[in-house]
Amino acid sequence: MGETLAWLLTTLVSAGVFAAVVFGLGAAVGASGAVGGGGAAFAVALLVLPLHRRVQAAVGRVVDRERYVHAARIQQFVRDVRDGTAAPEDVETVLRDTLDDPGLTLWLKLPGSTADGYVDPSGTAVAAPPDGGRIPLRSGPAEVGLVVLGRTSARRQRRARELVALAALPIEVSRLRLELRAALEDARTSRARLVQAATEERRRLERDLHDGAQQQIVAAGMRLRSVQRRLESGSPEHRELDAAVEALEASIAELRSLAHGLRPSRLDDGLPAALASLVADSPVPVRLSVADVPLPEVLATTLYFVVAEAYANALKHAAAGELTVEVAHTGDALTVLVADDGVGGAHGPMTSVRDRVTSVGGEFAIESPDGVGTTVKAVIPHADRGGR
Amino acid sequence: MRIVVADDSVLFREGLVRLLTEVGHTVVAAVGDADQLPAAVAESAPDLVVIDVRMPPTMTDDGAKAAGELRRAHPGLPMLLLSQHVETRHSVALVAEGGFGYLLKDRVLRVDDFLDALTRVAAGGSALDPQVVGALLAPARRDTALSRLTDRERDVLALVAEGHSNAGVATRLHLGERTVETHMRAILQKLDIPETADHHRRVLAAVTYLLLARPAG
Repeated sequence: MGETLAWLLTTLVSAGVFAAVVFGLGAAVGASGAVGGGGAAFAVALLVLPLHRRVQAAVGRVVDRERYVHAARIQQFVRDVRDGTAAPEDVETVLRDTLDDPGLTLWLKLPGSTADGYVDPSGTAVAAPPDGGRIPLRSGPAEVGLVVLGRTSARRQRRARELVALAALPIEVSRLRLELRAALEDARTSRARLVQAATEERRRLERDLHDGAQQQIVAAGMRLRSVQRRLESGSPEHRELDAAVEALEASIAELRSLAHGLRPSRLDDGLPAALASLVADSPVPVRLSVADVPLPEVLATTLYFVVAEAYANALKHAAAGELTVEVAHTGDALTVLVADDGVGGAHGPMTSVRDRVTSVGGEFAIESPDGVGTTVKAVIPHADRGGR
Repeated sequence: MRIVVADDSVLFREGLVRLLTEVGHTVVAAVGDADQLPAAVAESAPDLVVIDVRMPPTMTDDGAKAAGELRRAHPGLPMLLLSQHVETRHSVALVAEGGFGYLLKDRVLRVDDFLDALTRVAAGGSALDPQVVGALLAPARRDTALSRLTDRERDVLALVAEGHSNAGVATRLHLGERTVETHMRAILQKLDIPETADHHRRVLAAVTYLLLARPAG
C-alpha cells in the first residue's frame, strides 16, 4: 500500500514538474511546444528516481511506519558492524528483536558440509532445521544458510525476507568468520597431531638405537673379547682386537649421543633429573628449580627443549654471570623460565622452540632489553590430573 | 660364582653368558624378561644377579623394579644393574645399600674392569658407572661442600664412588695406598662424614652424600 501510494505521488509530482517546465519555458522564451516538451521530459527524467526515493521514504514513514523503523534498525546494525561497534554474530538477536520473533533462528552452512549440515552462529553443529518458515540465504548460486521463523504468516514472511536481505552483509561475515575459525582450529589440531606423532617417532627411534643397534655392537664387541682371550697378551693380534673394540666403543658413544639428540634419555628419570643433568656442566652457576609433576611425554620433551635451547643461547651469547631455570606448575599451566643477567639484546627468534610451544597450545615470549639480560618464558596449559 | 643373567637381547645375553663362563663363573639361569626373574632366583639361589634395566614386559624400567623387589625378597643378594644409558630414578639409590652395582652396558667390553666390579659387588661392595659419578661430581655442584675438595681429592672421591678399594684407587692414580688413605680422611672430614675404618661403609657414606647433595632430581 505504501509502495502504491509512493508511485502515485511520484507520478503526480512528475506530471506537475512536466507541466511547470512546459508552461514556464513557454512563458519565458515563447518557444514552441516541441522545445518546451523536450526540456520538460529531460527535467522529469533527471528528477524522477531520486524524487521517488524521497517520496517513498516519506510515505513509508507516514503510512507504513513499522516497516520503516524495522529497516532502519537493521541498517543501523549493519553500520555498527561496519564500524566495528557490533559483532556480526549478533545478527540473529537483532533479527529476533526487530521482528519480535524470539523463535527465529539463523542456520549457517559451512563449505564442505553435507546437504543438511548446518551450524548455529556460534559454530555449533545443529540438527536439521524445521520445514516451515524457511527463508533461504544465497550467495550466488550456493545456499549459505537459512533463517527459520518462529512465527509465520504471509505478512511476516514478506517482512522477514526484506529484513534478511538488508542483513545479508553481517550474515555473510558471520559465516566467513566461522569458516576461518574452523580452518584455524583444523590447522591447530593437525599441528598438535603432527607434533605428537613426531614425539612418539623420536622416542621409538631412540629406543631402537639403544635396544637394537647399540646392543648388537656390544654383543659383537663381546665376541671379539672372547676371541682375544685365546690370544697371547701383547701379541699384534691381541693389540689389533683392542683397537677394534675401542672403535666399537666409540660407535656406541656416538649412537648414545645421537639418541640423546632425538630424545634425552634422562627424561626417563623425570624432567627435574633431565634438566639437572643438562646444566650439570655449566661454566656459570645455575639456579635450578623444577616442579616434579608427572607429565605426558610431549610436554616433558617440549619443556626440556625450551630450556635446552634457551640455556645454550644464554651460554653462547649472553656473557651471563648467573642463570635461573625455573619450571613451575600452577593451577592449570606449566610455566618455564630461563633468565640470565647478561648483556641482553635478544638472541634470535628461537623459531623452532616457539613452534614446539605453540603446537601444544602454549605461549612463548622473549624479553631481552639491552644490558639487563634475557628472559625466555613459555606458558603451557596443563591440568594436573594426578597419578602417573 | 653362581650367576643369574636377565636380559632380553639374545645376542647380548649369550655374549655375557659366554664371557662369564670363560672366566670360570657358572651361569645358573639366563632369562629374557623381568617376570621370570623372581622364580629363577628362588630356584637357583645365585651368588649374584645381573639385570638389564629395560626389559619386557613393558620395556621401560622393569629390570630396575625387579631389582627392588629382589632386594626385599632376598636382602643382601648382590645385584648388578646394566643400562643402555644413564638413568637413576630406580637404580642409583640402591647403590648406597651395598652389594649393588650400576653400570652402562658397554662397560662389559672393558672385561677386566667389569669382572672387577662383579667381584666387588658380590663381596658386598659397590660399583657405580664413571659416567654417573661424573654427573654427581659435575662443576655445577661446586657450590656445595664439594667445592672445598682439592682436584686430587675429587679424583680420589670419584674412584671411591665408582666402588674401588683404596688399593684400586692407588693403582689407578699412581699413588701410594697411604697417600690415598690420607686423601680419604681429608675428604670425609670436609664432607662432614663420620670416620670409620670399614672401607665399604666409607664408600657407601660418600655415595650417599653425593646422591643426597644432588640438585633437584
